[in-house]
Amino acid sequence: MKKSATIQKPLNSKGASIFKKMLEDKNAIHQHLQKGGKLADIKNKYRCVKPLSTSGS
Amino acid sequence: MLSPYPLQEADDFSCQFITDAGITYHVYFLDYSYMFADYPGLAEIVYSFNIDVIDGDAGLSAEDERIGLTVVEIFRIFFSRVENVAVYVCDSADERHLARKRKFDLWFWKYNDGTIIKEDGVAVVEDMEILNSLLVHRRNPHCAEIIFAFKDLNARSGEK
Repeated sequence: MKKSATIQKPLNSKGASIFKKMLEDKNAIHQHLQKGGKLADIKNKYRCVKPLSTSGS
Repeated sequence: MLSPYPLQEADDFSCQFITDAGITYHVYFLDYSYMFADYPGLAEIVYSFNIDVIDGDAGLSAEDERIGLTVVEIFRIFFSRVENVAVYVCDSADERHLARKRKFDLWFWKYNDGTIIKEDGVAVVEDMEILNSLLVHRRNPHCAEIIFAFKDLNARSGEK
């Protein structure tokens, strides 16, 4: 029987889409900030939160 | 004795600090709570941590110890709530992701007092590898399950 040649593509990680999105968000926000934008402008698109206070803790 | 740089409010969602070399670092978190949505019982508060140079040449700050101290101070505040979980990815766009990972690793091993557990992962996404890390407080009640879920997300489909 003739064996068919198959190309083995590497399998993605189970959380591939999450980590990819994390990297894409980071790069998009970097571009935005570099242009002088504020996170407040895009807070809903990227689920911006502030889990820490710099006014003392 | 060296001290962290003062943290300033950049806006309602981020803070920043300016180094002695005049480099402005922007620090912000994004809500990634859905990250562990597929793991029953893990409705955790997960944030992606990001630090970005907004102004100046980061290459000038390679030896600036106060930057590491400032990042540690940010995490000290962040983990004052022990349920908080942070994940970060190392940007690979300029091929310097390994250098960034080494820098974070150095800060962690140098300044961590043992309260924070760090777990490293490499996510395979198509033909790209994304270096990523998890930070979780040792006293987080779901610490072991979170680490398990994180490792599982980095594992390849089909792997056990």
